[in-house]
Amino acid sequence: MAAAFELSRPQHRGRYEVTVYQLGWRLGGKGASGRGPANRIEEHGFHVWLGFYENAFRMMRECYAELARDRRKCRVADWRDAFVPAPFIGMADPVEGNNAVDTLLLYFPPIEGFPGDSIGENNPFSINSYMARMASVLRSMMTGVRIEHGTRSESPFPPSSTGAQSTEQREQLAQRIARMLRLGALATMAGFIEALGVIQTVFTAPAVLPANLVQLLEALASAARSQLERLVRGDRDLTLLWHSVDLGLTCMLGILRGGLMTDPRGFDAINDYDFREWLRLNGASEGSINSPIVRCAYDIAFAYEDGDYQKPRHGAGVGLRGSLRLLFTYRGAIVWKMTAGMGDIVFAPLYEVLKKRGVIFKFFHRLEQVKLPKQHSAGERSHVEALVFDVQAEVKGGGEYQPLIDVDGLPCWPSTPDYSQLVNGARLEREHWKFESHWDRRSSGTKTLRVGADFDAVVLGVGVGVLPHVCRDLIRRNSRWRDMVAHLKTVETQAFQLWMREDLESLGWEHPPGALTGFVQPFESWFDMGHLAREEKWRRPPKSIVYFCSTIPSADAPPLNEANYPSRRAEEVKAQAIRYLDQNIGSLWPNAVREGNGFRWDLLIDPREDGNSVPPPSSDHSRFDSQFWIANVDPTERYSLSLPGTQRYRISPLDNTYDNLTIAGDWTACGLDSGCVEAAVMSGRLAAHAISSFPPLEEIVGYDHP
Amino acid sequence: MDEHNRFRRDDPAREGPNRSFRSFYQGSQARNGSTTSSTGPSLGPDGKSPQDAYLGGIGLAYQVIDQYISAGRNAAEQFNRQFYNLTAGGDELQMLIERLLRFQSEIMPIWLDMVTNLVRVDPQSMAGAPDRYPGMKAPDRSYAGPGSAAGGPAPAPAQPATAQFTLEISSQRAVEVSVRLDPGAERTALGCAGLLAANHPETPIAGIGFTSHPDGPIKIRISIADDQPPGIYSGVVVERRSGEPRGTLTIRVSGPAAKTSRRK
Repeated sequence: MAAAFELSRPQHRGRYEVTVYQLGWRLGGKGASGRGPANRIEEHGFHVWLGFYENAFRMMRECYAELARDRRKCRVADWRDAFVPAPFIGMADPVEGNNAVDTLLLYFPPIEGFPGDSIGENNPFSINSYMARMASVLRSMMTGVRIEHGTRSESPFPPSSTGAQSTEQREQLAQRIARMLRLGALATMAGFIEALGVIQTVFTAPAVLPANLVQLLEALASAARSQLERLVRGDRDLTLLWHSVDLGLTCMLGILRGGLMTDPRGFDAINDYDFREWLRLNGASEGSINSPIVRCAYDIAFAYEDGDYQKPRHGAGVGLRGSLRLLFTYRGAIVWKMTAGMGDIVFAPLYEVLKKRGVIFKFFHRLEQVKLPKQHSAGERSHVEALVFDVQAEVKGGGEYQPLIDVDGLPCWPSTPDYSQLVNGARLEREHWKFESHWDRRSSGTKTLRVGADFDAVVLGVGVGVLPHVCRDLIRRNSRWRDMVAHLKTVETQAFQLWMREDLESLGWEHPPGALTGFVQPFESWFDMGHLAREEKWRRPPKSIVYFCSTIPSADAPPLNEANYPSRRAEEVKAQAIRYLDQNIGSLWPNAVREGNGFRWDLLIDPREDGNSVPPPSSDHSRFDSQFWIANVDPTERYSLSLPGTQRYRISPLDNTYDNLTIAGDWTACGLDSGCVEAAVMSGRLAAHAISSFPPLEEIVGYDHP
Repeated sequence: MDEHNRFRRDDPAREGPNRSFRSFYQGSQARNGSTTSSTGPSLGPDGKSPQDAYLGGIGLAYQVIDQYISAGRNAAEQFNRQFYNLTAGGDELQMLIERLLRFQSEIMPIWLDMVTNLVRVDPQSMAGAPDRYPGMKAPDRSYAGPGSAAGGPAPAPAQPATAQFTLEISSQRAVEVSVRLDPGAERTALGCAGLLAANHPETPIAGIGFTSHPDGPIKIRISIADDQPPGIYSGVVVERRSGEPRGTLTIRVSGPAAKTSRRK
């Protein structure tokens, strides 16, 4: 979509006629969402936009500006209506030996400007800025960190009221004072280690000093670290604080020690290492490496090979780049939440703008094959000769499918297609055609597009998991494509959403609304989405809405003859979600469970009962059937991993091996090289550049980055 | 269509990103955060060579160790001298807490300044740094470790100066305010996202105003709501344009809050 947005810009004066061929009835791929019963929003997972998504925000800001919606008619008229800041990020740390969870809630202060603003004199993309921001974040952590054990809030300071103190209060005070002393020592030791690290780095020049001095300094740093670990041991608050400082220092030192500041490969030079492995090599303590902070970094990136929690793997360069971008280049807020579904906020306005610009959409087209000529002329590059599609459904009257629905003035995508627009629509609905399923190959016909006659150039924007099925010619004849498909791994993900009749506060959640990662697997990440209650059209709106998401242990997609695979996986997701709510959710929301009886299923709102004021008669787990859950198992929905040693196999959209083909997606070599919206938009912009030389590479924010 | 007439992409000027730090961190001119390709000047923008920068970094690192450990030890000793009077009555305990907080407020800025200073060691000057720092020489002085008398003369811990300011406080109750602002902060537009208390995170003190005058003190306006819960609220003062920290602000609010409904 980003490529279409660029190529259809009015500045091109219609030079490029763009046609989008789309599987099924809606745009967005794994970012697609739909409106279900009660117009509730149903997503593939939870989607938030990080404050460093400069290209993605820039595109959406332009999109909304060009769309010029009338706010009197549409409540999402501007990009500021579409995104709201979310300054809190939570990290959960399960306590060994019981069902309790420590929650570290970090507040990230707002930063001047908004994502997508022009890069002016306050350029956040500079080492100076990174380092200053690092100091800022450390300051915020030191002044703002607040940790709570379980559900019990503990203030580090006693009440200020005076009066007689009991012996117990005095002991508590003594403990607190001792803790503050440790904090002071912590600060001292951290400075000591950092100073040592700087000395060590600048002393590394072998011609200047004997190696044994470096060894001595390393030993000193190591000893200091171990002493500090002992110092904070037993105090989970200080331990977490120390881990964050330790990791920050480790990254700084690792950049210096590894010569990354002079390596032309930038952070890519360390991509063969796993992120944890690289931190360990640069002296991070084992406690820090295994801390919830690092675990959360892996959780956010679904960085588990084959979805196996025993195999956490994330390329160090990608991890480092992502961490720096996340923490030190965000603008406005560190996280932005959408005020409706991602389809409604992102893909509906994009669709509308592109339609206005004259882009043609062909829904219900499944790409089957990208064909190369059997041979090409001497001196000529190879090229795409034909594109073969299955036409999943024909539109009545041969017109264009109208995909959007109106939800009180807001154009939205439905969760199911509008069969009434389709030829034999009633039959397709009755027979449950699954247009987005890789395993449902039913179609109404085929269509072959030929170069020169039907198209000039191709932007291949499918998911990487689809490539083995549609790019057989390229994979067979080109070793780079073969290597890319062999090495770039994807993973299935799962998600479920709850609509509940009590708010999270009354269920025992004591923190502000935000995201939490690092919770109990298999659904280690969840997000409070209660702000969507107003957007969905319930007669009695839910008081809380929560999304859960994670990976699923998974191998490669099974063959096409396993037609029941998606439904089987969906049933597994449902069973896991029920078990999880029964067994684990009590440590987050203690009032959502009954002792010995698991989750209070009567909390869940069944859309069929919307408007009823009496509690439902059924209170067993069968009420979960009324909620939404999904197994993202289709090849185009699988999440693109950034495993160590695999980045070099990515192919750039700029690659010109096939001179009328470019590629787009977060799986390409797009600069960021990680699975996220920003990478997909950067890739789309690169694809547009490959065809039209616009936008200039210098305008793709963050592309030229270590 | 004749194959010779079909569309062909032009070869791009390059097929990958510029990953070099050398071009990355120098410029604020480029639109995507990089400058155009450059091998980097041999001198930093301040006219110093990379070698100067490294040697400066070494000196700074020594200074940090000396200053930091000295300050930390002094603060701990000062605190310890009064630490064991724990059997005192409630008022004395309260004083003890006050001392504890002073200890925290003294040690924290030192640590934060240290981080800020360290990260500014030489990013500018390293622009033209050759690989692996050839030609670098050892510093003139040697480091003997904390607490050693054999080391070079330890520089006296620099007392952090603060910018001049005036306070305008609107409050029905007694408050104590502690402000630390970096020198030069009066020349920048300041802001503060709010002050948070560890025991009342849901009721931050917001709406803190700063008016900067290049030739005069910064005017800080603080308004405490009547129902603000008692507690110690702290936060970071930042430069509005860059978000870079310029100081800290701590307010202790005493006395019971007025009975007004507030969201928990």
